[in-house]
Amino acid sequence: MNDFIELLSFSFFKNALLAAILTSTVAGIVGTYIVARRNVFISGGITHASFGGMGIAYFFGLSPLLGAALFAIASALGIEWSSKKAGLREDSAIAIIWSLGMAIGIIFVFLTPGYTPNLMGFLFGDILTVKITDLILLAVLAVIIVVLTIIYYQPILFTAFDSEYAQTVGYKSTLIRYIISIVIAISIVLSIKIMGIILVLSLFTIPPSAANLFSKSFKSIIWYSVIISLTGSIAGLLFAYLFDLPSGATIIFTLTGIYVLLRILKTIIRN
Amino acid sequence: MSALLELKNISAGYDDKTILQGVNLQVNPKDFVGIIGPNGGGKTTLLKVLLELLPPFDGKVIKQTGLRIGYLPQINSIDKKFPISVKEVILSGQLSKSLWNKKHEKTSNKVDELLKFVGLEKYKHSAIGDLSGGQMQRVFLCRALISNPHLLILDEPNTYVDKTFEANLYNLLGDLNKDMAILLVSHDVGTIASMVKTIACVNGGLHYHASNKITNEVLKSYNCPIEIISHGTIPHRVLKDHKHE
Repeated sequence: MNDFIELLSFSFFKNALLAAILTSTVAGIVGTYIVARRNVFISGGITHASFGGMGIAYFFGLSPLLGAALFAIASALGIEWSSKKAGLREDSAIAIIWSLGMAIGIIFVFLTPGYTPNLMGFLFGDILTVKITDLILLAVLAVIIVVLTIIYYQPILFTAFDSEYAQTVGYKSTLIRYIISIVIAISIVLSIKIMGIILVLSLFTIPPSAANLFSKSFKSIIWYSVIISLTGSIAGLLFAYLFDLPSGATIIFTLTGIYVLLRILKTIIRN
Repeated sequence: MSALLELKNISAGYDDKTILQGVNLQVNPKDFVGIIGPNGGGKTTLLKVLLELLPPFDGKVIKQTGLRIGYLPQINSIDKKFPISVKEVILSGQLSKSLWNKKHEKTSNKVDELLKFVGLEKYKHSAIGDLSGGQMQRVFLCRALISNPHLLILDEPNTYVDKTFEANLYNLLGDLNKDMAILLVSHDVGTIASMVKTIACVNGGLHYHASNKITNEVLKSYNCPIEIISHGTIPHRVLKDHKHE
């Protein structure tokens, strides 16, 4: 405990803790939507495609985060559009965008002369090097998502459940879905700093899946997900610090551990 | 009395495949229209055009201003594991405009009223996935009714309804028909014949028949498939007067 208090006196650790809290809030809310809508594979495509933008940004010396965000949004909208309008099957569209983005990223990183700093961090996550600007961006995103979810809870829930019916009673289903796609893309990209491209999706999917073991209400799943994700992130963060491991990986381990514990607990309660 | 809804010379389909051609349909207040037709004949396409979910290739959909439509879809199109409660599903049938300027208590009463109407008061807070197919369908009927529609559209309502509720459902539709027009799609001619005032057959085009009498001649002349014509030979399904009148 004393060690923990001592840790808190380091600003890098305080930043990491803050990042964990903000990311958990974002991932809990957005993840509940992704899991409920069965959009996990789409989100995987978006995440990996964002590596293309990151690679291009590296090559031209621009902000990797900005590059990733633009690519993520473009691929989110691209998947939605190509499956609706271009007659391509959705899973095929996702697979193409997923691998094309990675390929673009690999080529541009390869072409970038010299050492590419933080590349490992982007692939596997590094919560301990989180910067103030990252925190500000995350905080703004978290506030926007919380406010939008409170104000537009019903339209979000109703269009997610049955977008055709929602449209027949006057909700702009397509518009709402496009906006949510953009929000998902941005949420994923801003969480990449902490979890890494390869692992970030689990932060969005394990907590809602665990919450879903005990609740079938969208609202409660959001709350439980945020709590589970917060617990897992903070514990994972401590492991990452103590054993000097990539934070993304340790957070996945703690989250999976929580999921397994809850699953066992559920079986015990049932019996 | 002006028509609630009118389809004029509609052609519709998906991509470059035309499913419906030259369809005309008029629904007046308190009509009870039955629509029959073979699978793939365009029943669902017709409903999508009516609900403005599918823009037609050609022709016009004319709606009375402020027309409210309640719709009961086929429940196999619903994600049964979606985390949503019965109450929330019913509330999702409210017009989106009413979201901002309504009294919460009043809507909550309305949900209770509807659940009582279909005998599911106990399940208000259950997750939709915990219900049986028949119960789920009754919840979707409540969703269709909460907006006090002028026109109720039912897509194959007899597919899932449990046998004990089936008779109830038909009485219920008879009651509802006193206040609203009903358009019922079914592949089961038996169901339709005993309920409706007018009948139409969709098979590429729409063949509208302004009478509730289903005879072999009617079915034959509207190009309905053999299996449906065979239903028509069952005597009690050839009706004279409508029992709900």
